[in-house]
Amino acid sequence: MITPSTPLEHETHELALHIRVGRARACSLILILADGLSILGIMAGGGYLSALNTENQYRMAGDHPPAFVPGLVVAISLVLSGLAYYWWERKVRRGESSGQLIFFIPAWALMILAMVVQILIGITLNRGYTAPYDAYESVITLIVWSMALRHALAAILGLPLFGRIMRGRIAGYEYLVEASGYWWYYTVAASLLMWLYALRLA
Amino acid sequence: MTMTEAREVKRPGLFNALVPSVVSGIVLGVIGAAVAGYIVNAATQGGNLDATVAAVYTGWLLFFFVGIGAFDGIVQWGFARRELTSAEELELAGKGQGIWRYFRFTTDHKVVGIQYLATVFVLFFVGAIAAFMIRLEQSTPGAIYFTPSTYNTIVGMHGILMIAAAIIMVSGPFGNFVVPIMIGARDMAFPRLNALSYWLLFAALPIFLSTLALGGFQTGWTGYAPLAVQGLTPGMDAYCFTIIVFGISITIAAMNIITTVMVMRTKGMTWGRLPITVWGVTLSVLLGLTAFPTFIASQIMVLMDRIFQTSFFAASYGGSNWVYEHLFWFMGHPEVYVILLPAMAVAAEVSAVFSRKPLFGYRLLLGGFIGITVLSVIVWAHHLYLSGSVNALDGPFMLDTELISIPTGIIFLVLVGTLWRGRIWVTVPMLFVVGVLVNFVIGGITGIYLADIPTNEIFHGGMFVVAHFHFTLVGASVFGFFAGIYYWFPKMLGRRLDTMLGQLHFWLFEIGFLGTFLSLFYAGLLGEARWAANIPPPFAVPNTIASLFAILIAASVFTFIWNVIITLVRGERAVANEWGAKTLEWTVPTPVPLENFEHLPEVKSSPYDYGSPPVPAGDGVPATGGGVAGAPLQAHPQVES
Repeated sequence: MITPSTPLEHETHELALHIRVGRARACSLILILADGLSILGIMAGGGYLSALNTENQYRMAGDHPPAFVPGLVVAISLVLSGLAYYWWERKVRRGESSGQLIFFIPAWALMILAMVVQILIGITLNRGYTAPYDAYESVITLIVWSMALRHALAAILGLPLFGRIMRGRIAGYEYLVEASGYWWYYTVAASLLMWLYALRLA
Repeated sequence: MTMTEAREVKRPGLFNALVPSVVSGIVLGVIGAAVAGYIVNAATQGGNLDATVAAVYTGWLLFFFVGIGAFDGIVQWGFARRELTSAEELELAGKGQGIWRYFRFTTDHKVVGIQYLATVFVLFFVGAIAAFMIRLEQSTPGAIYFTPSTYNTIVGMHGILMIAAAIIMVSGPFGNFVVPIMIGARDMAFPRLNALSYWLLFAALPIFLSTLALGGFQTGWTGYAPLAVQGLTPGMDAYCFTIIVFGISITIAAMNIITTVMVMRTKGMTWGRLPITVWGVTLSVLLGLTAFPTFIASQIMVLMDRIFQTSFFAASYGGSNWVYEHLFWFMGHPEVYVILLPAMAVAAEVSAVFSRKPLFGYRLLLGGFIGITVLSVIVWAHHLYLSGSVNALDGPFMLDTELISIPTGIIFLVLVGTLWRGRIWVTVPMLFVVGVLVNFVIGGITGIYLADIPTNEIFHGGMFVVAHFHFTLVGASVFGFFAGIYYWFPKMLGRRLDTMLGQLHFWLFEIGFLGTFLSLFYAGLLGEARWAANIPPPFAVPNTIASLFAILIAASVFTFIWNVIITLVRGERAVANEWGAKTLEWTVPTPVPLENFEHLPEVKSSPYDYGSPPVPAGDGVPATGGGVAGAPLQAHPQVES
């Protein structure tokens, strides 16, 4: 049962703006740090396996990297998504409430497109490989699907942002767009890095 | 009452009490697990038991959190027409819900702290039962009570339960309950994520315990591959999933604590005036944040090998066990400092209070903590000296490992210096601090032998290692935890633990602990290997002695449990400032009100200025009260702007 608030409770309800801004930024940056370290761990593990080439079984003849053209489509989609998000963020910071969807919807849609194409890459990749997979195929599989997961997380993040835009709850909360942007740009950068790494492994 | 608040008043009832709550979470979680398992089992035609088990766990997690209302906040954040009112936020924080608030997705940091405390007690108790089963089996030669396979599972469960409990034992209960008050905040930076981090831990427990029904796991607590991917039973999947969920919980909690300390400090609470406990907890979770991602990645790889037949660790397909070992120990070594740092910080906190002296070298101690935090990330390969990997780097890792004894020694020096010529008040927390000092000397010095490659070659895989890490993790860290328990119990639960029972607890624990693990040091010197159910006759005597002393440890556990029970039932009520301490948590009433402070304080001095004249108060400031008279407090209330 919700009981009415006392004057003290009303008083303590609102955090100062600088605290809300600080915590939003810190949350996003710290989670980026943690996730970035997991990516580094995956890349380090993959590079280590490549260097070890245990029993010369790391990569067998016929092992192929992910298809290049779909990967390029994903990369381009991500870059455009990042740019669209940036333009949306700039609009928000300028306090322009109209026309936000013109930039946000493409940013979100391109991220979803990247996710869908990445999933298709993963599915076709695993159809081309034969279980049990060797180490190279294992690393490529992990990279492809972890990229898809990150795209999915960003796409899911877009959903409540879209909700806030539709409800008119972005004004006064520009810091949320900024902090979410950190994660968005990180997703773009990390995915590009992992794509290039997968190509390099080939 | 405003119109909005009139609409907010809901009718109470059994349904509203149960939904959402842990009850609805469990019900929905079980349903979700069954449905997901059924679907995947049908899709794989029963041919991939690991995939089915993974689906069951995933379904359990998703639907548990739906049932407990964890996603309500995201929905409200994104799609509601307005922000939450103060009344709604306070309802989330448990206002007016009595004891039921501990069984819901409650955001109040004090509730989360108590939830963590209860869970830590449960984990320690179950882990202790496993320990006594181990000592029972090892009390005489021969695998008498358990099969070797069952014994392996018991050892592994003991290890991972105790490690998990030790990781969260200070940062969970005290990091949540005490730290926000210590820095002058009304709550954590992210109250909902705070609740989420606890309930992730809760949700991981049934997953972990299900390993018993799935054949257990044979790898021990380290989960080494390729053995981890070779198991005939899916019990290993439970281990992997538990680690992934636990790692996510730790990451969220770490982010929350770090952000809270960074942005929520009250006016005047500079970095140099932070209580040392806050530093210890913050550096610990920062270290955990950097360490756990690789652990999570390694468990994902193991699951992929088990479910999808990838080959990260199978040599015959180009994989390597060294990948696992490096990923694991990159977490595994910082993890012991994740455990140690907050416990040592608590010991420092307690030692200052009960010596009635400032900390001997606050900045020196801080330098020691930071030194450990930095160095601990670059020593992991001392666990791989005999693996055949990193031969060229053995020397540098040995050097780094020995270097870490310098900041550790500084910590020890500060603790001893704080006690030196202090007006020692021999309380139960102080007894445990003395226990920390005694035990850590032994644990630390034996670590030097393990750091050095020539001696490591002899001791690796033996009981000497087991005794070493028990002296550091239990003798130093768990003793530090108990110092914190006896110190903050009056504030957290409003009652005083019985002093005589506390002293009995300490002496039984310390004598039992020394007897058990000094005997195991001797067994290790004789050459006894670890992880063996069958004790060969040459090692029988020290193991029998160890098992006898373990009875004292068991007695200490039950003494403590009895103390907690009778205290909660009929214990003496505590006063606001039980110990005459100066940190901010002792300025608030007991029990602590929902908003913590009536007015947010302004900090004007160090938290350990014992012996200094009181800072002049402002107008309208009430006199200090409770506990030892004349102890000036760190802060004075200010009118909140």
